[in-house]
Amino acid sequence: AFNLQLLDWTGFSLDKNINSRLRTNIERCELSLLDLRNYLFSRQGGILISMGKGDQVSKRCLNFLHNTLQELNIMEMECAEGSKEIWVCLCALEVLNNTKGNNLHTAALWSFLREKLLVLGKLCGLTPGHKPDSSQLHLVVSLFGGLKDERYLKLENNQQNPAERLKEALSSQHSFEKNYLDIAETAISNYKHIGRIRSARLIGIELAEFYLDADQVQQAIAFLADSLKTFQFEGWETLSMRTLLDLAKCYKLINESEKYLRTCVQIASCPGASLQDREFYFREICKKLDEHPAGSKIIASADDTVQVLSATQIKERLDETTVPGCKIKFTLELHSNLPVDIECSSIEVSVVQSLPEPERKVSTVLEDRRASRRGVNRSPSVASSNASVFSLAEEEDESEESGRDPGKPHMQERLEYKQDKSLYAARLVCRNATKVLKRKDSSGTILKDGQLKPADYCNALTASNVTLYPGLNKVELHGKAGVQGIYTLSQIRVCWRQLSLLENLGVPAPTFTVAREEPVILLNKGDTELLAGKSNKLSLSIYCGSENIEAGLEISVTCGRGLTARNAHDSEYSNTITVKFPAGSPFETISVEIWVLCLLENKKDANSIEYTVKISDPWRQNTMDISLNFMPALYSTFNLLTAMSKKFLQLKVHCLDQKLSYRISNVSLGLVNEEKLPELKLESMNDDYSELVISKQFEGAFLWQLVSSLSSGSNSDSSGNNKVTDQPAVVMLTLTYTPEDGSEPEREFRSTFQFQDYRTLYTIFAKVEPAKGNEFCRASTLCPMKIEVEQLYPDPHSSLFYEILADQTQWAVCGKQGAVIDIQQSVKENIVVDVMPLTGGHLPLPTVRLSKYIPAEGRGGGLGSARLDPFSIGQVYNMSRTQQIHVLPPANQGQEFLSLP
Amino acid sequence: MASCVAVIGKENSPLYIACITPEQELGFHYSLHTSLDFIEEKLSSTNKGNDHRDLYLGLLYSTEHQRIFGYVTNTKIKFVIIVNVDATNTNLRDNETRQMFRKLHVAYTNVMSNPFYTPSTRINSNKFAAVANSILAKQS
Repeated sequence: AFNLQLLDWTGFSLDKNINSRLRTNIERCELSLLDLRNYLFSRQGGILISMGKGDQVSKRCLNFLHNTLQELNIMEMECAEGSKEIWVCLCALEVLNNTKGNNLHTAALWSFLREKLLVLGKLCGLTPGHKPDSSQLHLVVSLFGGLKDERYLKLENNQQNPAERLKEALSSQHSFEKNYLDIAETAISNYKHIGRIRSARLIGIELAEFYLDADQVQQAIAFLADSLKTFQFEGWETLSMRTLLDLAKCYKLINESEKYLRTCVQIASCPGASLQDREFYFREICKKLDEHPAGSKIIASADDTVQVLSATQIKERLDETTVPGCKIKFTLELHSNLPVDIECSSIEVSVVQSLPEPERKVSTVLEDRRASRRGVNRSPSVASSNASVFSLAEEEDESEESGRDPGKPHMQERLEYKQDKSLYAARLVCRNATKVLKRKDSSGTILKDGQLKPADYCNALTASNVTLYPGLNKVELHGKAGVQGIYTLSQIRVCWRQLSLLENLGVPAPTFTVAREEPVILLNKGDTELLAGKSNKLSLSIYCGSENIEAGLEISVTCGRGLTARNAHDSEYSNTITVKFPAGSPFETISVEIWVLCLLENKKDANSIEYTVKISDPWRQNTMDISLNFMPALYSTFNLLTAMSKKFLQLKVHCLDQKLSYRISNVSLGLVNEEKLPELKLESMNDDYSELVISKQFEGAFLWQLVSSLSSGSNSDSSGNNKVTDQPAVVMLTLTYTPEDGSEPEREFRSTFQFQDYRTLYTIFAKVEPAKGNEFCRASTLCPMKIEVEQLYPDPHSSLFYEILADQTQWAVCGKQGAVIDIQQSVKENIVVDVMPLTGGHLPLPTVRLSKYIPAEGRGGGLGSARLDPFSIGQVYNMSRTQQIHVLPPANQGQEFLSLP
Repeated sequence: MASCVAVIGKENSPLYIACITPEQELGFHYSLHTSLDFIEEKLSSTNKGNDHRDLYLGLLYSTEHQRIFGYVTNTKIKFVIIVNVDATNTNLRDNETRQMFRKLHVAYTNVMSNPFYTPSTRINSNKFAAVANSILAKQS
């Protein structure tokens, strides 16, 4: 029969002797429920310890304590206040004394002991800040009364058995505090040792409360801050909120105004806190700030106060490039968690340049690797593996160009092949893994205060006098771009009164690129061809690149020989001109018109003329050569025509201008070397037009007769004069031209022509006569061909060779086809050769060719060793050229062979 | 039956907490937070052995007045149920706790299926709350 009242709350002992004493009690049925439980567990514990499973004891002890307490509860046992706690403490102390070191379960047991001891301390008025009154003192005495000392062994070496220790702990306020803190610290360190940080933190919170009661605020702060770190790290808002409120109280107590301020900011911006709390602490902030000297700066974390949701660069155009020195605009989306509007003196975002150099290094390293790989792979798989590597390299170049975002993972496909060219592996490689996977700093905010350093704000994007309302805000930040490179927004600073709220922007941080582009000078000719001999409009332009070009920039243009230029407003052409440019803003093209005029002289064909223009480049400190191709606006051609002994000079003037017609006038032709050739004279055969209009389709043609005062008759008596015929004649055509629309002044065109052998030395007259007695020539009958060669001027080569060349399908030459004739004896030479027409019809006469015959010197005779020298064109005039003769078909042939004329 | 039901995210931040007695909420929060210690311990000890662990972790720990049970999905979402130990329910069968967790898991899966729900944010679903409350309400 168990007593319904609990009178004895002595804990169990793991000592065998004491247990056997308990057993005799059981045998005598003099036991309480607690005695039975104590006995059973102590026996169990004893066995476990002797089995070497000491750690099991503490585990089972905790369950045993929980269960027994529950049991007492269920059985509605009447127990004195504090008696159960005494029992728990004694049991726990007994087990903890008997288990060496710490294992998973001792920590929980320590914690339970601490909990119960604290309850006892509160009951007995031993906690700091209280004084035990008489009833509490009485309670202690009565609690000790139910504790039987004899159930515990006295320990050696001044060690306390559980009863002694508990009695000591409850003996005075001071020793309670000492013992409690001792046990609590042991519990915490045990928990930390086995990695149950959160359990340790929970004790820490209670310990902080205890310290706070004991006026040891610094200790309390330490525990609270540790707990806060854990709670905030894992996002337990309610818990961190509570802890923050406690911390705020602590800071206020010890007058740590900066830390108090920071904590107030955190509370005021914590969405988990009640609005009352938030507004209260906001007022606290304002109060504290009023107390602070105006110039001082207090740094606080803005992590939860002002959150940066996004930062976007605003561009006026989609393709706008940010260039050095230009204005940058960013829109920040901020979320203010403060309950009230704040007037910020400034909001700044610091900017850090990420150097482009490392990127380049990466690419060179890659190239090296590529090279080595190629070197190694001398297997048949070289081709395929190379292809893959090459394509990879290309991709990389592209991405390099496009300016990769350093925060984004840069993934690449990589294929590897076996020797037989089959795919061995395909993998995805992250090229910038170290950057992307950089650990995001996630330590607690309070602790961060020390580490949070203001970044360099001299190149920051700023906005001043901004009011941040609770909730979403959009702020426009302005800044100026620095030198070229990629910039990362690193930190935001919100300045509100003396407070600087700092927050490092998360990964991937927004970036922007500042590009620099060199200005480029261009010379454009438009869509029409440039024409020599008339002025051409060119446009000299500067593509400003990323530069701002001030008005009045001068660029000098130097033309090569034969080319002149002028500014649009000048009237005179000169070799060098200076072009002044208007102002240009980045990425604009500014242009100035210039005119160039290319000399047109002595142009005899339609080929274009190339000229070089040198343009000074003020950015690269050098000059650049630009070659321009000009089509001649006009050109002339020359022909020497012969009619018997008469000579004519035909000159044609062609126009190449697609658009304009030209009016030409004052056309004249003169002998340049008149003094050497006094016998020559030019006689114009042209109609007396004052002007002629020519265009691309209509050329102008002019004709002059070359009259020689040495007539063919008077030549023979003074052969010395004959030599002058070797002297070449030079004639010059001069004319003035102007575009028909009158857009340009008249300009002169000259061209000179040189010609030789301008006398007809021989004339040839050939005819084929019908055979004797016949009226017509008939095919297949022999006909005599009479050739008459006449010398008009004495010629040193009097030994001539004539040939009769005939189409062999039409003519058969029966006599000598060629022979040497000596024309010196007589001025005229008649040759008769028999030829036979082979077909009927109008046949062209066989051609007679006359050449100079130069016999081989020394070795006489034989045509083989002699040399034939042709006459120049015009020296021999063939009167019968292109003549035809009507040949009747052969008489005895059938009708079907009749060849119609 | 249960006095507190909680869903804790992959990164150990609370996604949903409901309890029967609002005045005790702070205490439950502390208990839940502490339970993470035990969950982590269990996960690290079981994960080493076999991949196919039971989602139900069983009793995490108990205090004088509470028993705390845990359940971890394959995506490391933790469900924790706290049962008050008092005269009325001393013996809670293992099967019953499993049943509660299974209900909770199904409800959570439904929440996740909602395209408007962002994973690892607080759960604001009436249906989920109804299920959680049904687990809480069974107590009496």
